[in-house]
Amino acid sequence: MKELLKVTGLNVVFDTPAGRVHANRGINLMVNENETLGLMGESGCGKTVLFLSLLRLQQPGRIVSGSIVFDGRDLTKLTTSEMQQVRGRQIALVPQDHSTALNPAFTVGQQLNEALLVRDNGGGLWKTSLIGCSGRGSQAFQEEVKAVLGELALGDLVDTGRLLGRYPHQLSGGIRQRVLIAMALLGHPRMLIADEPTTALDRASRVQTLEVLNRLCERMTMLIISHDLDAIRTTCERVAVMYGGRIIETGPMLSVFRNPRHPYTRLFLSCQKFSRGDVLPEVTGDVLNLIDFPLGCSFHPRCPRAMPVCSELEPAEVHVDDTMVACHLYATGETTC
Amino acid sequence: MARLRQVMQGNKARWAGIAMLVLFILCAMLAPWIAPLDPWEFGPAFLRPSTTNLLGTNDVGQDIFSELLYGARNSLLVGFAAALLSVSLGAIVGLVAGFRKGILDDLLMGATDVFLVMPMLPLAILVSVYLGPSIWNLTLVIGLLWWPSTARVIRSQVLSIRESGYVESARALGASDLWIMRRHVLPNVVPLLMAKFVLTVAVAMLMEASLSFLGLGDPIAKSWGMMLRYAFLRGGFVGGLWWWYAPPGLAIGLCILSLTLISFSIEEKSDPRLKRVLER
Amino acid sequence: MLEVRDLKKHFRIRHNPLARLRGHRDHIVRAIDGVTFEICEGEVLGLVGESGCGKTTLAKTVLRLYLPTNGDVLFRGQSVFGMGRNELKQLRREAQIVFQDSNSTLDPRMNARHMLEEPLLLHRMGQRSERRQRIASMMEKVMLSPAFLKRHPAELSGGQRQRLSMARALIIEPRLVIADEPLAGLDPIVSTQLLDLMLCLKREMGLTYLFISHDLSTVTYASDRIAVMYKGRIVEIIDGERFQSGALHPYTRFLQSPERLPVESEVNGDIHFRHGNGGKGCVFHEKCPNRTSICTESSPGLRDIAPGHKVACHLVN
Repeated sequence: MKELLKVTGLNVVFDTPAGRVHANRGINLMVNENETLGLMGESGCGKTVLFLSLLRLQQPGRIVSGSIVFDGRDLTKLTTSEMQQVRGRQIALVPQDHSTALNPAFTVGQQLNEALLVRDNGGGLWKTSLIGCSGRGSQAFQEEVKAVLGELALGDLVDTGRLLGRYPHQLSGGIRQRVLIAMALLGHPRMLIADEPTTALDRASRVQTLEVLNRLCERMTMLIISHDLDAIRTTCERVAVMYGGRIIETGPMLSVFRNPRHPYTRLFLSCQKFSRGDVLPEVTGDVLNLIDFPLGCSFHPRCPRAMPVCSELEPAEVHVDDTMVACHLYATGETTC
Repeated sequence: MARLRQVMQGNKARWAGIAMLVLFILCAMLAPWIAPLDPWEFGPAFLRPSTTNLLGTNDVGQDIFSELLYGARNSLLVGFAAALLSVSLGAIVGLVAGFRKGILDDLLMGATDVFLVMPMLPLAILVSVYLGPSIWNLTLVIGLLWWPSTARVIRSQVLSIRESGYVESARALGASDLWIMRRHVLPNVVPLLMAKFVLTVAVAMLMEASLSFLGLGDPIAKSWGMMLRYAFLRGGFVGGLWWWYAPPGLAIGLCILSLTLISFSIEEKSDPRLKRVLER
Repeated sequence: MLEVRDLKKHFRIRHNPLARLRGHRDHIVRAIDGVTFEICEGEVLGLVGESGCGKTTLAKTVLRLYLPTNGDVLFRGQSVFGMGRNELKQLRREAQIVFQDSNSTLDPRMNARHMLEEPLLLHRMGQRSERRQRIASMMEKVMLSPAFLKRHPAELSGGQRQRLSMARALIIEPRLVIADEPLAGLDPIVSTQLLDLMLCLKREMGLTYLFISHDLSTVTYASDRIAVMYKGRIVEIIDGERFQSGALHPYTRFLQSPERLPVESEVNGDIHFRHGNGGKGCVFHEKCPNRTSICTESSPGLRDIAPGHKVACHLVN
């Protein structure tokens, strides 16, 4: 399997009036070609900053150190215009909030057309007229859009022509979400980043979106950011868990779900899967503040298995069987617990 | 003292504004004692600035520096009185309209819109001509014409607070309308009112200067607008007598600048979310 | 303790005169359309349904924050809508609501102490020192350190804010608490923590909850009985223990399993108003996999299927 994306030692900081926020601290991450990686973690753990940094859209944050090698090129060294070629055509993003990500003033067709225009014209605005979005109703356009919509199970569901003439507010959340995916796919990207693709959807649309993603991940490289465990389970081959700006556990999806090693991963998974009569997992402490880090492992104030060393040393990444864990519990070679 | 310095550093613009305004108010209050000469007394005309006449004299030999100090009294008085009148009027209209929706709201806002679309300065000129030149008429005219924008702002703020989650939650706790008004609506409106008041003082002062300049003020009373008027009419501008026209113009400009600075800082401070960032 | 009888709340969506000239009619949104249930003293009734099904409207109407179009709510046998001033004040003391989204339901200008003091002042509870003490003990109960008393909502994290909202509702020692999506928008770990806290407080203070959520697993975990809502109607009420295995309504079963539905044409000009379109028949018939002709014609009422189990479906016996 070929490595498509490799992030090494990525550090991203934000300078705010309240102090320096270390949003990403030494991220190591790798995604193979045609693989789907799920990224999990609570809000504020730095996962949004991570994927924005992959597209170099992390402003006002700064990439302090580290490299992002995509298909042999280090993205951190590219110029702005080179980066524009990467965005959308190499790595495309499906934004989170389908209700605001589409422009309410244009129809779905116009917006899909715009995605095509941007792709064909290299992102240069001067080459496309501003109102040009409504212009190109050509055969090629129709065919291409039809093909993509068909892939998203929108072609058979509704009459494509009618869909294209609609404004975003006339569509249900599920359809809007798939239109966003379609816009991303029109750029023929090598890799697709989907940010919380199933939140803010009702159940029927969620199921359909998952089916669509599931089909896509067979032929594409994807990075899915979510804390919806069902979404991760049905689509991802590997998962990475983030906490406090670090990746604390990565491994094959099944092995992480069945046998989570890091105490945080265990807590995270057990908090979402409990049924009647279970004793709720004991939770102490509060969410992490990314400005004043605790010394040592960032999770130790909340960790049920904290040891003295946890408050002193930042744990290194350790390989245990097929997974990587950053936790002192495994540093001595102890693999069972 | 260290604490004071720390607070001062927090917002330099605000403190600069307050310092300037305090200076102007002190000048106005202490004018009879600190003015070196009687500004109504005639003497040798068109003198250049010297040690006796700090800013020279005008066409009839009145001391310009003393005139300036006495002028601050009337200019500030008209500014503050007119602003008080107009902001109270606007606040009442805005609060009532916002809190009691329905016909009353429609009527009040209809009247407000009518006032808003009328061109202010010509209207003010007309009314002052009709009422005759006097400082109090000037105050009345400005105060009664300048309330609609306050009313609009306050009403929209009240409307948004009314519908906010925290008012609903107070209602669920059993709070009455009066309680909500006092504990939730007013505290959220007062900073806005203060900001609006300070800004209206500036507007009223400018208005007073314009009306006086056009000859609609009291011809005997000293005010910065009047000083400019005479400097303009009696050849001060043409003759290049800068010590005659520059001081009152500068005074008006600085006064308005200081008020604007204060107004901005009140608005900034009124939002606790902003305050937190500013304090750090 | 609380009895809701055939409660209806319809909203009229008005168009501006220009749109009306162009032929747009006023819409009536049937946010809740004939809801009947009761809550017994000391129980947790879970109310599940997807967003937009009318849960929040129901919560607000039950406590007379909205006036209903039809129907009645009885609190301890007394009609909520017929109450006078003093009775209403008593109701506000005994029945509290915790809103979803603590970000907007806390006054941004007030610090935590003021926020907790307000309910005590409103109901004239205690002298200054006693209020102080109550506030301190309430803060402890919701696991917030006293240092937070001086903080404003913007300086608290989502979980802390939600705990403050809880404290604010509970400080006047109500009997009934309506919790409207108290866990929505929180991270899984924080929300588990809060759920645990809510259940602890219930035992400690002897509360009755109406627990509203769209998340099946938390509702199943916390509730003694569960009501399932769809498009302004309750389609099933069932004991919490039997919910996983014994639910019968097709919509409940759909919520429980991730199977694919035959979907109606979703590109619909009236998609916003689809919810409660006032058409005939069962609310779920458009999406129901086993619909028959009767489902499109008459609307099924809630019927007793077994003790403590009611279903509104023509096909369930």
